[in-house]
Formats: sequence, structure tokens, C-alpha cells
Amino acid sequence: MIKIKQYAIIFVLILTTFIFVKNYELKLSENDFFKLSTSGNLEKVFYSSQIQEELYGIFNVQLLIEHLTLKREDFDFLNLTNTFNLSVIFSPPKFSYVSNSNFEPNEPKFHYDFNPLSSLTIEFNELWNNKEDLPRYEKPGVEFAGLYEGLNGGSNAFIYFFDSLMKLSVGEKLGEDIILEIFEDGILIFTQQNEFQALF
Amino acid sequence: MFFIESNLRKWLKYAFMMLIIFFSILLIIEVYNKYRTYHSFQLQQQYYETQYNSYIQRVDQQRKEIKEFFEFLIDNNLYLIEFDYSYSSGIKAKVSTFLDPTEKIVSKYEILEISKFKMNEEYYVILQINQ
Repeated sequence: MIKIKQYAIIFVLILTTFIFVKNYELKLSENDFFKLSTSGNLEKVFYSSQIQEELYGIFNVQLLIEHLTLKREDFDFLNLTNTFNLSVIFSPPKFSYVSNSNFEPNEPKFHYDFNPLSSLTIEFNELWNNKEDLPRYEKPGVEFAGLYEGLNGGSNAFIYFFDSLMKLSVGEKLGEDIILEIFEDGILIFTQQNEFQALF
Repeated sequence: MFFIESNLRKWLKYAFMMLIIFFSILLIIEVYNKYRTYHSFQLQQQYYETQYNSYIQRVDQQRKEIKEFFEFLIDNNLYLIEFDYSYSSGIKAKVSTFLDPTEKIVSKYEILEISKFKMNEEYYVILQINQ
């Protein structure tokens, strides 16, 4: 037979265990082990020499890129400048994480002979030397008439438009097409369809 | 005296038994609750961990694709004019280069010729590249 003293001891033991369990705090540490190397969104103009560093940095951020655009400033087909507009929008994860400032990428930097971001200029003269291979500018009634060199060094071209004579200078529009350059024997035109054409 | 004592002992014994049963039940419920909290936290952590791993994997895959494209530009001597990447629609780019009359760029990308003209012995071409 269990004696009353033993009941009392069992009760005290159970009560103590209950109080201990009740007050025991579970160590539910937040997920601070999700460390990510982060960065804010970016929108800036860079020179091509800086942009390689910038791209290297962006590639080593551990956030998903939602949108990345890299565009040459003041672009035209014959003159690729070395200034770029760079814009990056990151898409951070939905789970909670902490920013890891000590993150060290182990990837080597880009080393290459050819740089796709370098500048390139093609002279109009060079293009005009091959005018025979360019598509002819053929619009009804339009014909090259001649060149007039002004006293201030600027030159104007004259074209026949049916029976009338029209004066044109560089940068002006002929219909929807742009006059790129005027030469002794013709005009280099950039059409609305992004095509170089020669009128001579 | 003996009877009174014996009776009291009896009641005390019952009282202790009831308390023991009552607190045992409470203890079991409390232990179960603690276990449930811990278990659901563990599950949640596992879920976050899976999300974290899949996110990191997507980031790595994305960087690989972009780097691969830049390496393609370098290997083919292509000047970058415009680069537009979005996670949903991939890479779109406008590039230019000089090509021999017979030369063709073969790659996994879709390449469209926007403009082409002769420059001495070569052609200067503007290309639109889509992933």
C-alpha cells in the first residue's frame, strides 16, 4: 500500500515538473541564418570603364534581378559612345533574411581581350566610299542636284523635287528620313526604317 | 482518535490522488503543446530553408545566363548597343559588329539582322538578339 507521504511526494514531483514545463521557454531563434549579400536598386550613367566594376558588383549581389537595362547614351548606329545608362531593379525574397555585409564572392573578375562595351565610330566618309553597295534612295520625283558650300564652312545640298529645287542641310528631314551627311556627289540618308541609303 | 486520523488520511489520500491525476493531465497537455509549437517551428524553418535554397539557386542560374550572354558577345566581337533583361522575358539585346561576307554567327540565341552595309571588304551589321 502506498502511504500518504508517498502520494504527497509524487504530487510535489508532478507539480514541480508541470511548473518547470510551463515556464520553459523554447529556443525558437528567428531564421537569422538566411544571410544574403544585398544592394539597393540602381539607376545611373556610367563610363564603360566603370561599368565593368559595377556589373561585377551587381552579379555578386545575392538578390534576384527583376529587370536590368544597359543602354548606350546618345546612340546612333555609327557612333557607339562609351557612356551607358544602367538601371537595375532587384526582387528581394519573401522570407525574412539579414543582409550579409561580410560576403566575399569567390568568382574571379572578367578578363578578356575584346570589350563589348567599348566605343566605336564609323566615319560617314568611310560609308560613302562604299555608296555603290548602299541601297539607293528612290522616291518619285527626288533627284540630287548639287552641293553648295557656304562661306562659314557649312554645306547645303540641293535636290530636285519634281520641278522645284529644294535646299537641305545636315540633320534636316526629307519627309520622314534624316539627312546624315552631304557630299560632293550625293547625300547620305538614314531612313525611318533604320536603313542607310544613298542619293546620288 | 485512531478513526478520525484514519478517515482524514483517507480523504487526504483521495485528494492527493485527484491532484496527481489532474496535474498529470495538465502536464501531458502542456508537454504536447510545447512539442506542437516546436514541431511547427521546425516545419516552418524547413519551409523557409527550402525557399532560401531555391531562391539562391534561381539567383545563380540567372547570373549564369547573363554571364553566358556577355561571354557570347566577347567571343564574337559584338559591340553592345542595348541590353534589356527581365526575369520573365529573358534577354533582348541590340549589338553591332563587322562580319566577312560569308561569316555567320551561330548560337543558341535568336538573331535578327536589323541593318547591314558594306564597309570596304567587310559588312557592318546591327543585330537584334533574343533569348
